[in-house]
Amino acid sequence: MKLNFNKISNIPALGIILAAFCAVSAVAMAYTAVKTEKPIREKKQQAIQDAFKLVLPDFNNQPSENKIRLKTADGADLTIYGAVKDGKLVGFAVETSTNTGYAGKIEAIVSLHLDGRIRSINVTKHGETPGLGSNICGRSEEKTIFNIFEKSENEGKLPPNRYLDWYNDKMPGKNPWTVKKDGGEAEYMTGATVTCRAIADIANRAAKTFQANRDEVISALTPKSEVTK
Amino acid sequence: MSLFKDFSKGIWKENPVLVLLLGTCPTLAVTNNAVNGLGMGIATACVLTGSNLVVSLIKNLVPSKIRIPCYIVIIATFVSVVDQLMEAYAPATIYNALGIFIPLIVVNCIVLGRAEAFASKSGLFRSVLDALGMGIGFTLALVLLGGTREFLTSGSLFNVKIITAWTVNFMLPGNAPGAFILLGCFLALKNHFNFRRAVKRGEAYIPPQGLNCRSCNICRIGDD
Repeated sequence: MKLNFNKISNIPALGIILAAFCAVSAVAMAYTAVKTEKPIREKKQQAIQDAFKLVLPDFNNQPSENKIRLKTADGADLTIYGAVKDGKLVGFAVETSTNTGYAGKIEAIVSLHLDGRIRSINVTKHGETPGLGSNICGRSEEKTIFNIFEKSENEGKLPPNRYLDWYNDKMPGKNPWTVKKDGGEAEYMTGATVTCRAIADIANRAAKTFQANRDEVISALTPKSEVTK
Repeated sequence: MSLFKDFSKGIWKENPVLVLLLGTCPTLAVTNNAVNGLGMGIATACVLTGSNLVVSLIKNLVPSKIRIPCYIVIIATFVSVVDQLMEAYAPATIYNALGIFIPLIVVNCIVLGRAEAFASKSGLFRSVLDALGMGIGFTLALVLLGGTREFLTSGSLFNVKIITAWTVNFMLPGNAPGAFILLGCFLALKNHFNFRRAVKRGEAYIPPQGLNCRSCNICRIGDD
């Protein structure tokens, strides 16, 4: 007698068939998970390393593992990563965030020179209005129809952004940075003042916290072999 | 119906976005530029082809009482596999942009709809042709919608600026309301073409068989 699967209505039998289907798919999924685990992990690490490469000077360590956690003046968390080349510290990347954005939190990586001057500010996550606040936060080189086949001159470098680049190579002074509208000097854009203030806040947090904890940071991030020499 | 019709009906006559109106969530949510539309379309087409193939292969092994859970297990498996493969091998920008929408292919009506309405009743070859046609139709519609939205927002296409003087973005088409408005325009255009063609032939317009409520079985999908 030929068994007709379509007509089965015995509930334990139905359960067994469904369980068999689930088992087969579990095997298929487990197989893919095992096969893709390594490429995914490598890709994630590569993405982090690439992001550091863009903002930090030339280095040959793993900045994501050479880090120290600090608190800012108002108690927020902040992580500083150290870039090391041939056993010498060459720069810092400060991972920080502010809640004063127009649409909530803005996360950024601020890279610093050894003496505490700002090297560049890079926003990593934000929810600012597209087309307004996002222009302040974003660094992206625009491809146009005219240069689609040309190689960009800024290949491998950070695309410029005049609002973020204003802070480059500036030393934090006594007074915190503020935008021109508030009597300061930083560039701002009409219609996106709140975002510009948030960027100033990020710059202040990163630079001031580093200044306040400079010795501790340097001693923690310098490679150990160098200290013992 | 000939084999060619099995393939081509998904592209124009029964396009999943413009005619069947299935999978509107990804259609509206990810198409803010043409590249995202293309990525989402290709991912869905892969899942659709895989699930149609398997559903058609096992159609005689599935008791009709539990066919829907079985199809969902198959679709979910394919989605997980595609998700992992994309995370491992697709460009990071596309994977990050599509993010949450890849797991949501599981609940995309097109995939379950085609499994139930076509693959469970047809042979292997025809089911794959149907899935390819539907997948291509879905991809084309998403690229069309995404490209239009991207161009109206910032004057660019596939992230390449076409009109260089366009510096201030026009926000409406880039956001959800604009997506609804544009989709509405496309549907109106599609219907306009169909009506005109019918009038030229001197007939009244009748929607394709299987698309009017009487013969559609999407609503009765749980019955047996």
